[in-house]
Amino acid sequence: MSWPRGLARVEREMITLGYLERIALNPSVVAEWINEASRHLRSATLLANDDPRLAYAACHDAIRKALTGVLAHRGLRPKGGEGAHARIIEWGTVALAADVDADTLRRS
Amino acid sequence: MRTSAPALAPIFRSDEQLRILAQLYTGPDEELSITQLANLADVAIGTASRETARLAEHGLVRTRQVGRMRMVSPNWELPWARELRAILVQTVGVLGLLSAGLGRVPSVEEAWVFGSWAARYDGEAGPFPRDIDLLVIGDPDRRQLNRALREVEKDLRVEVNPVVASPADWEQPTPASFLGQVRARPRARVPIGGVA
Repeated sequence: MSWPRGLARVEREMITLGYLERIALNPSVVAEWINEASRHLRSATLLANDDPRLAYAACHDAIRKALTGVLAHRGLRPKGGEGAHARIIEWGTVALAADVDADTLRRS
Repeated sequence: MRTSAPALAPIFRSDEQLRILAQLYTGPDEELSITQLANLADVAIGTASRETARLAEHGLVRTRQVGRMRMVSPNWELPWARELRAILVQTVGVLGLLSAGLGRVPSVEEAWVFGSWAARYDGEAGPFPRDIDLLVIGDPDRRQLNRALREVEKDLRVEVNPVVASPADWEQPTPASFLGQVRARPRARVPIGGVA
């Protein structure tokens, strides 16, 4: 896949605003986020019939962690504190503009 | 940062506001996050946030809180939403960008958008078309034409499919021919050589 035009500019601005910070690229960190996201997805499948609400929450966490992994792959991470999860999703709406909408990412 | 349509500058509050409205009212997306809107309109995130709040306050856009995120969409309930869209489409939207792009290509005499985009623009219901059918009348250099349209495609985020026809064929098409069918269906003129 290719990154949407303007993503780098948005990232620079999100850093300036204190939403994101630069980190050294570490492939094992990236892999850990993606593995964790995969585990959550498997859990969601197991829970889907018995406890759909928890399965949904697991899907949400899987999306957030997968996005965090992709961010880490770009040498970035969200700055901690309030709203950090929303920043990841905000970044995701730009990075994956055509493929994802906010409702898909929303925790009900 | 882009600047757009100087002729409109006195009407809108700022170039940024104009591009934000254009993204919302003329683009393929129904609803955008503030960051996404900032990216597409090529404005700062803070500007997108402030302008959106101001526009929402006056009912020009709608906002919806999704968790901690704010989502923005056009307000089609606005009595003059369609007229606003028409102004934006002809200036900074599809027709305006095509006009600017084709204006740089010699020997383009006329241009029309036809097909599903023109039908939607004419009021026919349906989703935002994934490509734009463009009829170019004249004798432009094909490579120059294609290069100009590639540039326009980047801003529009949809494919532009050009068909070139001679002025003589366009003036007198037989009804069953391709050009005859284009004439019979909705089409929108791309302003060439005038004020965008």
